[in-house]
Amino acid sequence: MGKQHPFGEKLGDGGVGPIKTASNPTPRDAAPPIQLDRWYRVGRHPDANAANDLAIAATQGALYRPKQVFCSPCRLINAGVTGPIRWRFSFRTGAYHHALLVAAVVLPNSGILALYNHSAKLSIYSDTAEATLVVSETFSRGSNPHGTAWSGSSMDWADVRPITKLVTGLSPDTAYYAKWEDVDYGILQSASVVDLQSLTENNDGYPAANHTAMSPVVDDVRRNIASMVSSLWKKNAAHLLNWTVDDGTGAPVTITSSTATNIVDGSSTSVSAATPGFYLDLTDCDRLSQASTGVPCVMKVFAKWTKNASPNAAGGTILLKDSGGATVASITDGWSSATPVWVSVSFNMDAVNDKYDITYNSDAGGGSFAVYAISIYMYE
Amino acid sequence: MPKTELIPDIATGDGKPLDVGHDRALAVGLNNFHDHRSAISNPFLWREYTDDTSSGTTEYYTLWAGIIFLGLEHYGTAFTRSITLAPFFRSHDGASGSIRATLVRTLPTVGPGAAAGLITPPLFADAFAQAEWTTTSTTYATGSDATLSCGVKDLFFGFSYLVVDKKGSAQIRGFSKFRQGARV
Repeated sequence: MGKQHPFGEKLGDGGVGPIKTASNPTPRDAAPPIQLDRWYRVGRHPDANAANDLAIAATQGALYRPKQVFCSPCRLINAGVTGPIRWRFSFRTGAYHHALLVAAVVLPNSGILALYNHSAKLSIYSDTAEATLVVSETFSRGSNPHGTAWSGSSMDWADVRPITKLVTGLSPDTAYYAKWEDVDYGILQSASVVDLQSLTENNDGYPAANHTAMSPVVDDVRRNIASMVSSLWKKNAAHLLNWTVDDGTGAPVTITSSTATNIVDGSSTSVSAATPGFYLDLTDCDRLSQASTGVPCVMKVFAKWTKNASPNAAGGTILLKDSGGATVASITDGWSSATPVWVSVSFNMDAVNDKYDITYNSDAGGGSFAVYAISIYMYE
Repeated sequence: MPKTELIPDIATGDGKPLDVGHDRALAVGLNNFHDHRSAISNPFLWREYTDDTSSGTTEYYTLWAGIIFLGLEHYGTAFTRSITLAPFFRSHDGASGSIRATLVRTLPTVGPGAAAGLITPPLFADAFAQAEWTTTSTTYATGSDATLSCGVKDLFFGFSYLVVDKKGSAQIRGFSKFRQGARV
């Protein structure tokens, strides 16, 4: 089960940093935006309220605005498929990572009741080939959901069971690769994975938010905040999207054509308002220095390429295109093996609200390109 | 809102002067982080699923559902946040079809007198927010924007359930738009 406290363990004696506190001083009630012109203008004295506002906003940003790195609203009727592996995703933990808050909604398999625990399993790997397992966790709903006499009567909402756990064992600011599986005849219906942060485990405490009119004006007050603002901005930005096949049959989406084709509908070869795409709003997600370059992002793709008769050594291309059809990010001929592997690319996105289509294609030599999952997130 | 700037190392340290510009930059960065940089983004589109089962022309029947994280912060009466979402859907035969999205704090139940089963009109027994879209077009398109309050989440873990229902001939691939807004 791992650690129970959502925001980490208590600090040990002497573990508190300068102008920090051992206990969380901030409420979970969302604070309003900090008033810039009220507190910060030339000629105004340093204000204790402004210092407290900064500390509260920094702590709330770390603890109460964690990123959801996976979420999969999915089919309810006839949920699940015939094989064990369901979904994959890649993510990067935040600067103050403490644990993953994971909720799995698991359905029973109505045909097989008493002998199995009807579970779902999350496995997290540190390498792109899913070879080095870091941690796994099983979410069991238990056997006999309707008692031993249940013989296939209809499931209803009472059978839809969310199971929530904290998953520990990961490191801060580190990329991971994960997959969901059905175990013991359970049916994973949906799931959410959240990257919880801890300021006791990774920041030597909480920035003090108890400044008063008589408090000394010391350097550490703003140094603590400056450090947190930089870390939050670069490492704790939101995860933008996941796309994954429901891989129970071992059947990724496959293409042998060299024409870029929409990965969601498998047919569209040009971008339009009628093609399936993802709306991403990156407004004000860039910094002042990035006005001409855009928001730094990362795209990771789990796929494989089978050579077949192709004379080429590598194949498989993924393109991220904006609403005008311009390519924003690309991995070109990025795979050379029939064993699937995560391949990544760093790129910049304009700080605007736009629709983005994802296309895939193989090489011109007749190779076969198969895609399982794609994850995109802001970083740096 | 001004753009975020990360302040230089020379802004803090022993003997370094207090600069109101640097303090203002910290506040701008935190405001933008809360309202934009950390905003939950979860558009989802399925290749496999274009469900149009569980038909009914007078009542909504549940197609999809999912648990969704909406943040750990609490919202009072002064301000809140909302989710802007839009489905990617169509009518599979040209007749009228509707999609309804509901964010609800707890899972729905079977309505009074209804037979047990998931293919029944859901009864929302806790705080919820809801939006509907209707079309007769047989071409897939993104529906108009709707906003649902983030206040309909559980107060400890911050989870809510997205329940997607259909009525008539609607067919859906997912929600091409799903993003949390700033504090308002």
